[in-house]
Amino acid sequence: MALKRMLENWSDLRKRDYYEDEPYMWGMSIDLNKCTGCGSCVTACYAENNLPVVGKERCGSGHAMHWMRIERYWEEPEGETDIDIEQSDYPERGAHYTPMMCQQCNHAPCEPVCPVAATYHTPDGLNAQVYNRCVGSRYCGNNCPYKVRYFNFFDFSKDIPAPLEMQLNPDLSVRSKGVMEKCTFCVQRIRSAKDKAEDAGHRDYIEDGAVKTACQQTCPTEAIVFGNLKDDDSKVKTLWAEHEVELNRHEQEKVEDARGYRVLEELNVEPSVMYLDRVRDTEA
Amino acid sequence: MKQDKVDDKLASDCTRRTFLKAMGLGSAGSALVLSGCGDTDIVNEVDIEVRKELVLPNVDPQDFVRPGVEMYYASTCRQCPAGCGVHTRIREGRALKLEGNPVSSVNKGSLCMMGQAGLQGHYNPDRLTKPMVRKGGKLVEVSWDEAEDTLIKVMGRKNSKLAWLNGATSGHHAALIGAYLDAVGSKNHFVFDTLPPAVGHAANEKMFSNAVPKLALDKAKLIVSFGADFLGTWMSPVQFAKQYADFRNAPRGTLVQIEPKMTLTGANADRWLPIRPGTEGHLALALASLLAQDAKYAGRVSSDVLASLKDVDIEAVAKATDISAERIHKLHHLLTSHAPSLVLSGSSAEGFEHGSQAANAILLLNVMLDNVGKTILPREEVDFPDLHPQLGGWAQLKSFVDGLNHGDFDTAVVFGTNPIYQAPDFMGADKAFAKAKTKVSFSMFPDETTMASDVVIPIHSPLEEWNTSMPAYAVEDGQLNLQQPVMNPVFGDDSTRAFGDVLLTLLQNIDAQFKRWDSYQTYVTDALLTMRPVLVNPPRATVPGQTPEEGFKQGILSTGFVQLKSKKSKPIVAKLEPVDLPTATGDDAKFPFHLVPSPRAGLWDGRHANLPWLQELPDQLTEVVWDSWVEMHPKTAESMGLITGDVVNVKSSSGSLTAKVVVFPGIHKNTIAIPLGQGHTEYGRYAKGIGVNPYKILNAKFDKQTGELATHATQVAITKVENRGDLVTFAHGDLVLESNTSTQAGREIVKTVTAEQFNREEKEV
Amino acid sequence: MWQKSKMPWISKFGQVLLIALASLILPTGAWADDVSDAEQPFEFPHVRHASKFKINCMYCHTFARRSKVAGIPPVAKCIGCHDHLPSVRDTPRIKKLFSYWEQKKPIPWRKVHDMPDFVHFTHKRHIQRFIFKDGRPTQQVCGMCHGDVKTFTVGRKVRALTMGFCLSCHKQFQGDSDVGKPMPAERWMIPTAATDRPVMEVEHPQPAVLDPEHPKTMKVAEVSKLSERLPKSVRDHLVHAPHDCWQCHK
Repeated sequence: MALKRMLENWSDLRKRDYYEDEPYMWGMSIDLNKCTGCGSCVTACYAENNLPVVGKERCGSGHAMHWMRIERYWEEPEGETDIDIEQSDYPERGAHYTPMMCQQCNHAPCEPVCPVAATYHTPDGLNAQVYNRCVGSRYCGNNCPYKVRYFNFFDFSKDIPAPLEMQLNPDLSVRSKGVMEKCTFCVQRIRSAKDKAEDAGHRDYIEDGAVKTACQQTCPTEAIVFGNLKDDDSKVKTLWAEHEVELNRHEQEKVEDARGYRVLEELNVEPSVMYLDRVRDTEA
Repeated sequence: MKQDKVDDKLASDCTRRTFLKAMGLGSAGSALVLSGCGDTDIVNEVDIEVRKELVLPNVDPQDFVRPGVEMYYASTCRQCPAGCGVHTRIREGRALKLEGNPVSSVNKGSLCMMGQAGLQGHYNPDRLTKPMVRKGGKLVEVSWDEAEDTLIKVMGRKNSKLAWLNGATSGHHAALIGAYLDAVGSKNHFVFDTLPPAVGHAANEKMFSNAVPKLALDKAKLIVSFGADFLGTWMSPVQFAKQYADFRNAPRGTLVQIEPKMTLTGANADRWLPIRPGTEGHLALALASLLAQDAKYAGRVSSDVLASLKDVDIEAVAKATDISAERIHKLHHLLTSHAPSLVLSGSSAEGFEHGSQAANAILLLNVMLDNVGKTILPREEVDFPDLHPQLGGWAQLKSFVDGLNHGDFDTAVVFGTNPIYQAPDFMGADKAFAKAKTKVSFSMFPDETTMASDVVIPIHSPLEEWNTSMPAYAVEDGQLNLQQPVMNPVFGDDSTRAFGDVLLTLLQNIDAQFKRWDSYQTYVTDALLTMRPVLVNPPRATVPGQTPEEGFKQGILSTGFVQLKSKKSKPIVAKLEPVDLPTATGDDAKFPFHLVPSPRAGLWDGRHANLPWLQELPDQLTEVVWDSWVEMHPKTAESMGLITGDVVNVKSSSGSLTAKVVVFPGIHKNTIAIPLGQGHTEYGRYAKGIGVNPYKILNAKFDKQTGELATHATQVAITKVENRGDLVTFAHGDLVLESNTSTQAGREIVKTVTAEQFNREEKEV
Repeated sequence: MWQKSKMPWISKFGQVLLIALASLILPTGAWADDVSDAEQPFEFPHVRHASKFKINCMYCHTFARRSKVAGIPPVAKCIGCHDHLPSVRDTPRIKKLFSYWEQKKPIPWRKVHDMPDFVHFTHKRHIQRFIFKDGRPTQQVCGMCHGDVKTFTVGRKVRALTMGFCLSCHKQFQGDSDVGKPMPAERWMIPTAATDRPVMEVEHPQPAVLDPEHPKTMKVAEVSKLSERLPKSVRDHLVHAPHDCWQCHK
């Protein structure tokens, strides 16, 4: 019977873009020309998302729970570069900083490996993690090319001494031991913006800027821009268009001078975060 | 816990609760939540297992209080003297998150990591909750009644031998402290804060008649910074970061950073130049002499200054500074090809015996390049000098310590600063402090100075009290920030008290005219109401039936600050003096390394070491967490057979300390850097016993002109103690799993384009 | 070994008994959060307020229409009326109420409906939809989850309020735009779901598609037929119940 129904609906099941008509597709743009690597976003994320502090020893074991972290490199990537590299004993061009958090891939490698479907793709393009469904197999974390999934090896929330627990954000859970977690693009803020939009009578339209992620909100140089990629007038969509980065491509057509790129795009994971190249003045 | 027991508990908790009277309770977003009786009391005293089964209604809430709906209250961040405006997110009477206030001209909606972590100071488990008095050599908790009696005995009378030391302060705290000291008849007021650049301020004052001139980073085409870490720890980082973002827009400005140890600003520079510590002034002088060859630049300075530029030998300077002559000529070319530019002098250039002269040489470049009036602007004149920021410096700490040593003071009061932790060993601050007959500390935390005091007064966190303050550095003159309690005191009413209230009570005992204010809140409110005529656009009543006063109070609370009228001041006329720098000395054979005590954006000068978020935030340059370390250049480390993690002993002629090596390319080969912030012997569970404080081993060297401590003038020797210690670093980056690599391992994670390409692309867009 | 050993009948009986007992205990354990018999500070008579005096639920639970939580009425709310009701002023319950008021302290009610921490449930959306948009009677709407409160004294938990209970509505009423789409958690099983470029080549259909419980194979025909037949005005009133996990899991 089931097979018969399945065959009847076969063409629907093979249909491609299920989310075509969804009004939202959340995306981000991070300008490395402006990012100073200060780490304000990291702390803002701790404050917003109930991230536990794990202490030195557990940081050493790789158990730090920073959903957002700053990667710091000293050298240009190997191979062809746009900037000439002089021989020096010192990093005279400064450091290479990049904030790294869940890239909300649209072909997310973490999703199909979850044995219990605790991680899945939401209609508005987020890579969701349902904590109470997660059984802690850690397949997803191991399959993530960005290494941005963090596992609760311990019951960190039990270590919070009073009254520090009064700071915890009631809009999202405090995760317990054995659960995988990661950046959610501050889904609680998206949820509350949707709620407000619905109050105002337009559930399918959230004004650009009405929802800001915690990292974007705090960034001193406004390097992070977040918004709806399906809204043609949104700042983030404009930036994506200006810098010639498009979704649904595993390789962007390389336009001269375009600074936009997605990290590890060649893996065809379709990340929703666009970075803009770091800039250095070679005349200096 | 049985039902009736809970009842009893709640009853006893609530009878002693007195509600704070809020100003301008009118509409959401502007006033204090009177969030039902008992939130914090219940949290403190009823077990969580019982608490989570309860659902407590408000008793008699204001109309705008809605459970489950968040509200934002405007206040001011007090994590550093920069004074950023914040919006505090409140739900069910708890502060949950701090965000920048978008209308504050200081931070325009953003906040740094320290501001974000302000909540952890507010809810810190190690906060002092009871007054303490030393009895039989030990600090014991006492009731507030007893503490008040003691306090009145010690501080509530005329006493010219009372010495007062506070950290950077401003606004009505500063005014009230001034009033108190006048009332007791004491002239011994000292202000000490570690990081405000006192030498630089003095140099600016001398040359530009403006200690803190306005800097327009966004207007500059080129910034050459001699060790001013304006993105990290210099004066007002968030404000400068905002300007920096504009500066980096197309057409993109160029940043050159010259400093011995790479700071966050250095890491973002287009060219970072490692210079031998102490020779920054010489380099500046060399650049000035190159500029002086052109009449256009020479014409802007007087002949006696020109004379001092005459015999500068570029080759010799190149040798002394370790910056090649070719590079000096290139810098000269950069300076002449970009206008307007901005040359900054920061703490790593100023922390020497000749620090003032180095700053003098560096600032001279601005005059020759005609930046004054373009990127360096005069402060406007603002009335009410009592409210102006007092930033202080090491010289004042030294006078405080000297006074104690000479027995000039019998009572020492410390508020908002921690001299026993900060002061180098040679000063003997702890021994001097012990000499005072009575020591009083107003503090939120059990820091080193507090634990050495005789009377300890636990004060409210900045989120629990009324106050005003002025930013240490502001683009818009005359901004007076307001603070309001955003929630009931975390530890209940019987625990902490507002510093202003305690001081006001003391004042009332000495001077009856202060009795007309029943609390610090009314004092501040009254003051603001009186200031109404001198404010720019004071808010008026907006709701029918509101009195103008009510409208004003409500209006200023929702903005979070008031703007004082200011008078345009005259343009800056630079007063130049010939630069007098000592000849650069060679290396010391016994102590071959220069020590840079480097402040971190995060732990700051150590005051934030008790905030776990900031301890776990990796250092921006070395990515180390929860530790102190010694930064060393790879070549130097190699020659000494050291690798990251090795434990070394760092010895100066004044003392020694032990820490782990971090091999780090961004440091001059003859220099080592040890970050500030750790090495607390008290200060709660998150800070105590971690790492070392490099200030402790500084030598007794002072800037010759200002008497400020020469923080960068100490030289040290290094010996290896043992192999690999337990240093934790995220330096490898998780995307490249090879440990300690600096490359991107064949992946394109961050790559760079040229500024030329960038400007072209932005133009097309 | 096991097969060979002879089990005395008594131990067999014991096993059966244990299983029977366990089956009794286990579900009770699963509902341990059901505190319907929670001891309250005093017995609030919903029956008098909601049935006899027909007071609207939202008169006291005033936040329900504008917040996530319905809100326990502030003590001042109770006093607001009872100050003017001298007839019951001396009854034990009202005396107790006034003793809280005079001491200015909250009444420590016990939670009756307590959602797990990971659940995001908002009263506002449900009330706005069913009471204000659809114009259904308040007591009927509240009663969907809270039972027939007008017959209660203190509140009791009459529905399990489990995920299955929520889904009994959320799965049924998917609304026009969602008709024909599988539940999001099940969509990941379909390789071509997101974009035109397959993540990997898949020869055979994935497990979800074969699942007889798959909503795709269960509901499409009925729901779309149903909605097509309805006049447009009614169709607009079809509930659009979000069925994305992250709508309710936080």
